[in-house]
Amino acid sequence: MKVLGLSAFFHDSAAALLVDGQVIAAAQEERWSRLKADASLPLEAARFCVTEAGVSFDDLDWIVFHEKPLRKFERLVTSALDVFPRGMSQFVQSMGLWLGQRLWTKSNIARALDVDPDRILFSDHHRSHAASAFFSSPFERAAVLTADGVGERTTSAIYRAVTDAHGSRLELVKELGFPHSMGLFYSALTAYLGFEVNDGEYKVMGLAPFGDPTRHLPALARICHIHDDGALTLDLRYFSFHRHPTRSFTRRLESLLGPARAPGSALDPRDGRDGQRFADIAAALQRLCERWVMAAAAEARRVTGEDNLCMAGGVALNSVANGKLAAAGPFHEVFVQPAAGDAGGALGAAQLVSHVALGLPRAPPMRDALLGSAESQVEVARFLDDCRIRHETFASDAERDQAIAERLARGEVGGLFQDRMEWGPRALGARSIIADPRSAAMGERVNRKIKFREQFRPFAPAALPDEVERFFVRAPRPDHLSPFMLSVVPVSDAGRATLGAVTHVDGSARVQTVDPAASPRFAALIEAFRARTGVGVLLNTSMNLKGEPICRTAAEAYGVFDRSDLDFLVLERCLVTKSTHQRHSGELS
Amino acid sequence: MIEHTQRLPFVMRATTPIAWRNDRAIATKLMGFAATELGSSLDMLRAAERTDDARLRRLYFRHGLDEARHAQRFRDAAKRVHPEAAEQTRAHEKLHARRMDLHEQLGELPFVAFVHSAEARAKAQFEVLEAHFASHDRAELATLFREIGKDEQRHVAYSGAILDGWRAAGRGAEVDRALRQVRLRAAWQGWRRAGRRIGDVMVRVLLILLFVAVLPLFALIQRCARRRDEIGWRHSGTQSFGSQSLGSQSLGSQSSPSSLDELRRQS
Repeated sequence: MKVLGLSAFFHDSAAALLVDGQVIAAAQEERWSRLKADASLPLEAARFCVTEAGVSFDDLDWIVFHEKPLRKFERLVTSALDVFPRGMSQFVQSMGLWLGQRLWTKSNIARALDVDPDRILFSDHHRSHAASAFFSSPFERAAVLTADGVGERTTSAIYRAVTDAHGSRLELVKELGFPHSMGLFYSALTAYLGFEVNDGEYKVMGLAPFGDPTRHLPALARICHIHDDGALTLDLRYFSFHRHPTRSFTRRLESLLGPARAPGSALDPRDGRDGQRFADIAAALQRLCERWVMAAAAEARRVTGEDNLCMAGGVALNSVANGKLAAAGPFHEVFVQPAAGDAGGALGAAQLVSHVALGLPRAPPMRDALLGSAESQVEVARFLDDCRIRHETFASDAERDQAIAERLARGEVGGLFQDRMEWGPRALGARSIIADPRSAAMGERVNRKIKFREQFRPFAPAALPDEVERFFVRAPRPDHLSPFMLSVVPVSDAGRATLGAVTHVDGSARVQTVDPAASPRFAALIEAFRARTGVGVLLNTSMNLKGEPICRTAAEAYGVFDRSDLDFLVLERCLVTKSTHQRHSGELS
Repeated sequence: MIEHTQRLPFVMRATTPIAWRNDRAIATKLMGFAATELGSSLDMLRAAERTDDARLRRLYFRHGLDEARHAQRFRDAAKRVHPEAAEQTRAHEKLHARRMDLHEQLGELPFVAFVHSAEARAKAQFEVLEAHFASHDRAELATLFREIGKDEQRHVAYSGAILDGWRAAGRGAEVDRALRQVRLRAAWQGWRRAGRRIGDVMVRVLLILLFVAVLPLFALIQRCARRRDEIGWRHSGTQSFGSQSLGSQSLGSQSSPSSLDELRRQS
C-alpha cells in the first residue's frame, strides 16, 4: 500500500512516501525550488519520493493532503466577518489566494500529479502533526501535544495515542481555537523584534539568553494570559495578525514595549540601549513560551494519564522549551519528530492514513532523519570531473576522516556532503558545515565569514554519546530529542572550559548526539577528530548561506563553498580545498 | 542577433534617474536584480544537471555560480544602501527568484539562444547603470555594475561561441530561428505579465466591492447569532479513553476516527 503525504500552501511544503507503513522518503520542496520555506505544491519533492520508491504517481494508492482546505476557508471567512469593518486588506489578499488556488486543492493536486481525484484524501492539520510525532516515536502509547500558529481553526491540541493489538488510534482530547495561539503570539513578537515570521523564530531563541526576562515578563504576561490548565488567551488589542496580511501587531504593543525594531537594522544585544531592550523582550517571550509549554504539558499529562509525551507543530521546534520539558516536565519521556513544523504534516498525514485508516503495522521508530535525496560517489566524481574542479579522492571513509580531522584540528572550517539529505530544518551531518568547537573565535568566524549571519546566534555541538556526560548536563531520563538536535541543555564546567565555539552566552548548547548505530559515517568522522584532539565533539551547522535553504546537491554544496570562506568541501569521498578551487574558479571560457 | 537590445540603453537612460531616484528605490531595485540573478542561477544549475554534454555542463555550472554570486552582491549592496527597504523587499524577492525550468521547456539550442539574448540585455543594462552611478558620485555602485557587467560580457561571449559553433556545424537556420523565438517569447512573457497585473487589479477591485457591499449584512448576522468568544480548551465530544469530565463546548465530528470516508472530506 503506497501512501503519499503532501503539505503545502502556508510555509515549508513537503512530501513523504510510505510503502506498507514504512517511510521510504521525505523531503521539503524548498530544497528543490531553492526558496526558503517554499509553500508551493511540493511537486519536485513528491517526484523524488516516488522515484526513490521506484514507482510512479499512477502506482500510488492514496495521496493525502495534510489539512482540510474548506475548514480553513470557513475560518478565514468567519474571521473576516468577526473583525468587519476592519480587515479589508486581509480579506482581499486571502480571498484572492483562496479563490485563485487553494479552494481547488483537490483538482490542483489531481492535475499536477495526473492522478484520479478519488484517490486524494484530506487529513486534519493538527491530527497530521500528532500522527507524525506519535508514529515516528518509540512509544506504544503516549499523550500528544501539538502547537503551532494555526491549522484549520485549532492552534494547539492534546491527543491520546495508542497502538495495541486492535491497531493504532489517535484521539483528540481537547484543543485551543484561533486566535489564541502560542505560535501566533511568538511570531507576532518575532515580527516586532524585526525578524521574518516563520524564519526568525530561531533568532529570537538565540537572542533571548542575552536579555533579562524579568523586565518585560509582567507586560507580556498581561497580553498573553496563561491559565492554570494550560489554556491561553491573547489580548487582541495588541495584535493584528487576524485582520492584516503583513502586520501582526498594533501600535498599542509599541506603546507597551517601546518602538519595534526596523527589519534589517543593526542589533547588538549588549549595547545597553535598544539592542538590550530587544534582548530583554526576547528573553521574556521565551520565558513565557516555556511557561506555556510546561502548563500545556501538565494538562496533557492530567487529562490523558500517559507517562510519555510526543510533541509536534512549530512550537515543538523551540529547543529551549523542549530541553526544560524533557528535564523537568511531568512526563517520563518526550519525543519530537525532526520536521516538527508544517513540513512534518506531510509525513503525519501519510502515517495517519497508513496506520489508522488502513490499519497497517507501524514502522520501527525513527532513529535518524536521513530520508532525503543522495548523490553517490560516482555521481559526485562525475560532477567534479565534468566541471573540472580539482579534487582529491580517498580510497576509504577512514582515510577521508583522517584527513578531515587533521584539517579541522588545525582550525579549518569545512563543508560535509554525504549520505541522504536530512528531513527537517536541522543539518545532522549529511549537509553540514563542521569546525573545531574548542575556540570561541571559531564561532565568530563561522558566523561572520561563512554563514554571514547575526553574531549573537549560537552554534550546535555534535557529540559522540559517550562524550555527552562529560561536556553536558543531562537529566537521568531517556533522551529522544538530542539525536535530532531538538533540545538545549546546560553545558558542564568541563564543557564550558573546552567548547568555546558551541557554548552560548548563558552556558547552554543545542546538543546533537551522534549515535554510531544511526549515523555511522558522521560518528566515525567525530571519532577521528577525537583520536586527534581528545574531544569527541564537532561544531555542526547547516550547509547554506543566510536566507537560503540547506543545499541538496553536490553542485549546490559547491556553490556554498564558492561564495563563503569555507576552507574545504567534502563531497562523499572527494575533497576540494580552497587553494585548488581558487586556481580554477576563473575558468569559464 | 543582439540588435534589438541596442535600443534598450536609449530607453533606459531616460528612465534610470526616475527608477533609481533615491536610496530606498535603489535598494528595492537591487533586491529585484538579486532575485532575477538568483532565478537565473537556479536555471543554469538545473541546466547543468540536465545536459548530457560535459563541456556545456561545466559552462552552465560556472555560469550558475556567477549568477549566485551576483545575487549575493546585489543583496549585500541593497542592505548597505538602505537596510530596511532591502529587508522589506525580501517578500518581493521570493516572488521572483523562481526557476523557470527553461532548459527543460526549450531544449539545448533554444536555451543557449535564450541565455545569449538575456545576458546581452543585462550587459547593456548594467553599462547604463554603471554610467549613471559614476555620474552621480556613487562609486561603489558604479564598480558593482562594472564588475558584474564584465561577467555578463563573458556569458555573452561563451554563449555566442556555442551558437557560432552550431552555426559552423550546419545548424545556422536552427540558431536563427531560436533567436527569433527568444524575442517573441520575451514579448509574449511581457504581455502575460501585463495581463496578470491587470487581472490582479480587477480581482482586487471586485473583492473590495464584495467587502464593502456584501459583507456588512453577513457581519451583522454573525454578530447577532454569535456565541460568546471561545476562550480556553474545547473538549472532545467523543471520549473512548480516560475519565475526565467534558466541557460545555463539543468538537463534534472533528474528533471522529480517521476513517477513509472522513478523510475524503475537505471540511
